[in-house]
Amino acid sequence: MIARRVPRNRLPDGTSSDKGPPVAAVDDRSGAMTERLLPPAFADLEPLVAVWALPNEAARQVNRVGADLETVRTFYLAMLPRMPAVFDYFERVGHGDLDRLAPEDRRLFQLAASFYEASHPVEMKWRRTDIDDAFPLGRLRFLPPSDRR
Amino acid sequence: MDDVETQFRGDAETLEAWVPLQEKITAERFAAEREKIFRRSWLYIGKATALTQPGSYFVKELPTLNASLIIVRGTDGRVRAFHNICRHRGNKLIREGSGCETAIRCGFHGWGFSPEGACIVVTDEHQFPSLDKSKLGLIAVACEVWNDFIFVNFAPEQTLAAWLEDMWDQYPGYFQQHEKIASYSVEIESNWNLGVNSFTEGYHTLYIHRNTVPDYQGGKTNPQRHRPYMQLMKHHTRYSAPANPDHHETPAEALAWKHGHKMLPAATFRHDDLVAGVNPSRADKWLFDVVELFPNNVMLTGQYWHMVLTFWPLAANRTVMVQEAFAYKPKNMGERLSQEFFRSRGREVLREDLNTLEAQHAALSSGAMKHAYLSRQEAAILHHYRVADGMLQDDPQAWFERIGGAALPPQEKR
Repeated sequence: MIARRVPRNRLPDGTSSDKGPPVAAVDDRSGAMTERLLPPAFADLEPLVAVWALPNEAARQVNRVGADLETVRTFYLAMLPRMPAVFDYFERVGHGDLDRLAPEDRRLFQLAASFYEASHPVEMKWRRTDIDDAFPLGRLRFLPPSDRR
Repeated sequence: MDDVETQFRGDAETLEAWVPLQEKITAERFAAEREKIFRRSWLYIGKATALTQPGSYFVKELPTLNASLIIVRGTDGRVRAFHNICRHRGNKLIREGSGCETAIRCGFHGWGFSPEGACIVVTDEHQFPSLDKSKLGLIAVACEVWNDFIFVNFAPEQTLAAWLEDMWDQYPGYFQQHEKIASYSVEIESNWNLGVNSFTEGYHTLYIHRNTVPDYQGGKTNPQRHRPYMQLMKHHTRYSAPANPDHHETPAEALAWKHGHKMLPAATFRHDDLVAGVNPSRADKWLFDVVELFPNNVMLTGQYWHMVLTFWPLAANRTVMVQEAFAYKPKNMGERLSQEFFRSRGREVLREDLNTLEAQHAALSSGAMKHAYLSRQEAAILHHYRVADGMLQDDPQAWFERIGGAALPPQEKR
């Protein structure tokens, strides 16, 4: 993982309210500096990042359809109570440009976007993680921006 | 139980409910459609916002007309369309994609063209007898921009303004408020007419969309989801979809609307916020509009979003569909996240709509069923074939006189 200095109290729009010196997250065992996976307030969601924080709509949908319904439901239930805080956090970012987000903020956004993917089979009570009677996902070509973010 | 009666504008009375659907998907019909409909219609090919500065271009393949076009913004700001052909020996100038250049150069012998289409570089020019570069400009295709939509026409018989009729000045600024949030394409083994038809009626929504959007439309006072308003124009059709005020919001959806604009249903919209072309009848329980831009385009217009679906036939039984979704520009990242609900649910709805087309085409191709019998709620489909049949039957001059369009000067010969 790339070592990176992360200022304390950094606001999600990249500015900092930090008065003190910047600190880095430290991996206790190796002593190496590591990049945070998610903003500190959402550290509890970090175990979900590897599977669900995917870079674009195409990847998120393929991931959802490839998972079984229980896995998707478990993810949905883990995210649902945290989503109001995620929205509050992102409402403080005064722009809508994903490319301007710091990596940990971008991962949080991608996790929350996967929550919306997961919400369809769970909330609409599908029998599986894809709809019955829909055009085959493998034949859908994702064009910009759906292939990008 | 109440029922809403559709308020029709235009000639819905003389539509014949029986339509010879089997004959609409034949190879013979398609050969005629290509020349008499696609070559003579204004065709949407992309948004002008993609061309950010002078010299910005993109290549647009139009397999329906065996053409490749370069769409380019000139130094005068105007958007033009040219055949993607070098005037020297016919090489394809730009293979694919988009970019920005002060001159378009041919890789074959180095000729160059300005963003306005003029020939500006002929390499080793003294070897050409009596060279006159003014005769060697790129071959233009008629191109006009309407509210950011770029249209081209290979054999124009009327202006784009005449072609769009009432709609021409009814959407000022509306589309430009939105930015693209999603896009997909599919190639389907089906006729293009069937593709357009499947997006221009609301009758199917009760059934096909039961797993994705079961209760956005209709509701207790309009259980069969009759369109409140439907307008049949000379070529196009526009109708409004009815909102269900008792729609049940799921937790994920409620969060999205709390932290962003409520995109569906727009049961609480304000008329003041809408341009004249959107919800044109000012129906009370309104969800969004569907506009068929004849021949191959369907627009959906909502309060904070619009979608554009374009069907490009490759053959009588093969079609490429491109869908583009646009939404309000988010002012913060919470609004951006909120749009993920609309974006991902909308894609699943689209996949349901697309899923009937191949089976329907195969069934009709068997020849067992010649005619289909359609509801008044499917008047847009009947009108689509009435307009198409008119264009196929008329010789171009008679058709031109019938639609009463403004004459364009003949294309300049180079």
